[in-house]
Amino acid sequence: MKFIRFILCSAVAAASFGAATAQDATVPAAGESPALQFLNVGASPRNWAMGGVQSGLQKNAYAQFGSVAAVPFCDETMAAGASYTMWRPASSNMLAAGAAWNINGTFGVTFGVQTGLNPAYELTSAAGVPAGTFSPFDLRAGAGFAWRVVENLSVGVGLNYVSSSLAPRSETYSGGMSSFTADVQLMYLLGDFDISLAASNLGMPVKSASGQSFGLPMNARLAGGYSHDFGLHRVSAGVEGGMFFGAASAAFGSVGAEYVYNGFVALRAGWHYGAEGCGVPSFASVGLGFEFLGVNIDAAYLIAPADSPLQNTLSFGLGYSF
Amino acid sequence: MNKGKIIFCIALCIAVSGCQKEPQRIARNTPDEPVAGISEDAAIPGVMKIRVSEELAERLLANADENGRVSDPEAAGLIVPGIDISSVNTTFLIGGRFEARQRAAGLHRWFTVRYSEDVPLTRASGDFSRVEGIEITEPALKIRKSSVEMDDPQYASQWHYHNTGQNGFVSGVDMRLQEAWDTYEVFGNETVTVAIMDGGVDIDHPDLKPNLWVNEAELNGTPGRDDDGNGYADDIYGFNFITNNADISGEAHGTHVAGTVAAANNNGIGVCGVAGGRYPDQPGVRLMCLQIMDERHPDTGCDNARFFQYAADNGANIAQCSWGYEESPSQMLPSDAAAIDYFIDNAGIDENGNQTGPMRGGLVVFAAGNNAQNYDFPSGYERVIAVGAIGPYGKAAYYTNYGSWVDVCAPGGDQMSGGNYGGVLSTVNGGQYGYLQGTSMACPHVSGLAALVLSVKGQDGFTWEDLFDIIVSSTDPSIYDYNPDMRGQLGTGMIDAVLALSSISTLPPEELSHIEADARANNIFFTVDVPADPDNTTAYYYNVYYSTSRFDADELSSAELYKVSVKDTEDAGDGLRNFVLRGLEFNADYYYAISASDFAGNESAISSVREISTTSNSAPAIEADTDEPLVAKAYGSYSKTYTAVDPDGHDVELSCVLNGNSGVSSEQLSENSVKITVNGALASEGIHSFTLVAVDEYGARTELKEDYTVLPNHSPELVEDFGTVCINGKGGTMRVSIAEHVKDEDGGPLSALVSVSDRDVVSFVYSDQMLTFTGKQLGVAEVGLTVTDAKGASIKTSFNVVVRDSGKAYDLYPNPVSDYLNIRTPETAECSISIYSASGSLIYSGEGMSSIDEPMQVDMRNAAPGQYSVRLTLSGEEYQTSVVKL
Repeated sequence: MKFIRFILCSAVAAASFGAATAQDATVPAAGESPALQFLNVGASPRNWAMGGVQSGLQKNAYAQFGSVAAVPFCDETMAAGASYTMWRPASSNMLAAGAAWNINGTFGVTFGVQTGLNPAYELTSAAGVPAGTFSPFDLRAGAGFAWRVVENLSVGVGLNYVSSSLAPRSETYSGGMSSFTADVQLMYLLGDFDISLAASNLGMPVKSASGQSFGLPMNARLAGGYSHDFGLHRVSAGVEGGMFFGAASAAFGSVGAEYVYNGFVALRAGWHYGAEGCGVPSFASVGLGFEFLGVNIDAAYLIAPADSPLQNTLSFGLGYSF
Repeated sequence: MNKGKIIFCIALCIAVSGCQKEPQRIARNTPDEPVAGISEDAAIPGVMKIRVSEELAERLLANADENGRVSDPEAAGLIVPGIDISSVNTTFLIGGRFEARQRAAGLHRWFTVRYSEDVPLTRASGDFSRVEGIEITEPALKIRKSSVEMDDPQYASQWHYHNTGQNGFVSGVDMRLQEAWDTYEVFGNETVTVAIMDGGVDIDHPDLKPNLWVNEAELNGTPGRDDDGNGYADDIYGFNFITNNADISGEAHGTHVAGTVAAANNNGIGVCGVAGGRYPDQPGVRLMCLQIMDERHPDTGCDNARFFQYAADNGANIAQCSWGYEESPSQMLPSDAAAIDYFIDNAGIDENGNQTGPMRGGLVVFAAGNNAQNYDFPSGYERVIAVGAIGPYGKAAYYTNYGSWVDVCAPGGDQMSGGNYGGVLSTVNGGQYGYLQGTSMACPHVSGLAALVLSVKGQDGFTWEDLFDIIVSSTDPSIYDYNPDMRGQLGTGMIDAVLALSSISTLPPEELSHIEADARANNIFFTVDVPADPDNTTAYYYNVYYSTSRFDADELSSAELYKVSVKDTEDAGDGLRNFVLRGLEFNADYYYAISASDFAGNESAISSVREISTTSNSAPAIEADTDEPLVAKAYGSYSKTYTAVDPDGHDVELSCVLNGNSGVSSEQLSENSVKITVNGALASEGIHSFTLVAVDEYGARTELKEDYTVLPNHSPELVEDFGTVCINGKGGTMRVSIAEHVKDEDGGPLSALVSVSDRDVVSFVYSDQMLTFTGKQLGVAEVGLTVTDAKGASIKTSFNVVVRDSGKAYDLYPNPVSDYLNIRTPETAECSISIYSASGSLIYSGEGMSSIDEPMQVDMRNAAPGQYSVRLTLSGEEYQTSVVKL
């Protein structure tokens, strides 16, 4: 428990650095924010159901997006899945697919792709005259590799190509922006516990149409996990704390738990703390999962305050592992 | 009556009889007796008139100067123990070519002695009486006006005679009849007959009957027979020229006019007439009733020649004519002229050419007419007095005819401004009284005044021209102070009974007591007092006798005479008047003496002859109305007024030479005043000049070169950006004031040239620096605007006009946004906005006001590229949308 308390305190302390800076202008200004924020949106319904904990859990087809180093420690040789997330309903539909291959418990290889299918918005001119509509499109795709360096320690690296198409091509806008990001993770296994230290979305800033540079939502996370079988019952739990850096600075933290009965039904719950101006805002979550003959179906529902944009967010996933 | 009053009356009777016949008896008082029953208050303190012995008179005259002032009375033997004598003057003016008869009349023995006012009259009289050589002592009595009171009960309402401000009228706007009665006690008499040529006069009216002209031969003759052989039977009071018989039918108009002329005064009933006598002892002038209009026969004409002829042949002296034609002829009708001429030339004269009445010839007085026009006949005939009308406030009556042909004006009433009581009150038929207005009512005031004057001035040799001149020249021109825009259109002024009757004066004014003279160039500027007149109020004329040769005050034949009426001089304060004797020789020695005379021509004692030297001519000076230089901006008119002033008081002409410059003009305000105006729009930039030239009437000249500056032109300046003009939907309009966005430092009008990039989107109308745009379809159009000032300098600018979708609750633009996000609403609304990133983080939350021309803005420059969701609350209504930042 001391370990968990340490991680949460670290996360809260990091959050205190996240105060927004004021703009010295007569027109009120929006706060600074990192680019390509869809990178903060995870792909795994299991993770969403457990408060968004990403890097401390094993057995995840979507390990490419946050948990590459966990693959060599997995029981399964292969895991694959696809998910659909109604992210902030009416704002975005996220589709994702991923796969992870555990090679002899020594190496791990991951693949993943995630798209954001956003509803069309109305284009208006500088004078406010309607000029048609456009549907933005986001993409993240990549592969990762993990190596179990010693018995209890593995290291993983994931590389992603990210792009975002926001508006029609014009004289001032090339039609989209893109970048490469890297995820780096160390994981240490100690009995039923694991500890993970990861850095995500590491990459070069992107430029706006006006030429201004904006950093990616890079973050560093420290996570811990626990899993133990009690006969037909398995209990898993995870806690994670982290901090954004590079663009806006803000802390975040998550905690989640899972109960699995007889390897067939899983009940999940979690809570996430996020700074209001950066990353994913706070929410609670619940989830349900089924697994039979290697096929798993998962669902998650985010419970958020009435004024939160995350209210009614749903995520579904279908996977297979062996 | 008590004992004291009896003693006073006896004493007064003695005094009066003594003054007329044996003054020495009443003046010889013992020291303890009152002075002939005269109280101290009735006498002028410190003044005693004395008649001295022949011997003493000669000694005093030997020490007297030409004005009768005795320089050293004590040396001449006039010593009064106990009395400190301050001055002694001859009471009469002694000397000149009439000195012999003055001495024969004993005038040279009368002296006026002044002493301390503290000495009681009784004591002074006794002290003077005891001096050897003083034969008679007589106190100088104060002269006062007698106030005449009429007991006619409605007289107080006749403001036209005596305007005391009744009914809120302007006090003093009247013919000064009451003051004339008070001063001269002249009320008219039976020797004067006024022919009332009008509608019928109510011959039974109790207020007129006492003053009706009566043909005694017909009155006492046989009815139906022409007893006096004048061609008209039974014409007892006059004749009806409509019905051609003696049936005079009383009507309001004729009765009203007759009452104004001579309603019986002081008879205890009704109203007063101007010359209505003072009953019971003094009958008024006679009213001859000649009916020339008859309401019973409204369309019947009349033979004008007959009634003027009747009036002339039957003793009338004045023809009172308050009538005219329904449509005035544009010139005098010959038959009218013949009839009027007959009256004028023959009234008061018998068939042998001998004067039979108080005046040789007849005076015709006509109402000027009530059409508010500038011509009328017969009143415009030059041989008659044409009378305009004045209301109770002094303003010309709204109806009165006017023009240079009008001779005088008189109260005629104005019921439009003064209500019913603003009319003239007089008799009307049926024995009644009423208010009427019109020049018809003004006219009989003049006829009555003429009758008053004629009552006392009438004598052999007195002619109608004399009476005409007295009436026309005795007016009060101050009526034009109330009517400054009608100068010269209402005759010589309001008739003035006091001044007209002053023509009967026989006593001269007192001698001038204050004479100051200052010579500048060839003018002599006088400041003098206004001497009192014993039987008038004050002197009317100043007479300046002057010559370059010395002359004697007793012998004025060698001197020139300059005569000026007091009313034409300037008020100098303290009862003094200023006037100028002009046109003398430069650098010359002049001798002058001044006297005063009254309206009747009675002249006061003349002053001593004094000497004064004129000087050389001085050049006029040119003065500006301001010391500030004349500076003109590039637009507008800038003026400066220059006035030439001659230090010598000469007339001076000021002119301007503009030196060929454009944009500058001179306006001749008067002979000596010029207004220079620079029109900045027409003048060229820089410093220019003009030359002012002042020349007085004797050629003295002054030139003044003046500079004026025209400042450089400034281009119009855009002081406020036009921004984007937004129109709410097709058919919507938006007005844009160019003046609010573009200013020109120089002022002046700005013209605009407007172009629109897409006339399918918006149309416009330009008027008076106001652009009105009308939306034709959704879209945006660029408006090009060129604003040009009066001198051609211009500024160009452009702005967009947007026609938005009026069906939308808001516009979020631009989208995608790169810097500022605008939230625009068709109506002014409170706006609350929250912006979330793709991950759901809140990057902005704020509130503000939004409207169609002032949208709410959010600075999105620090927001990273990406899609954001927007939660918008407008006046309580929530909306969700998205915006993309590039």
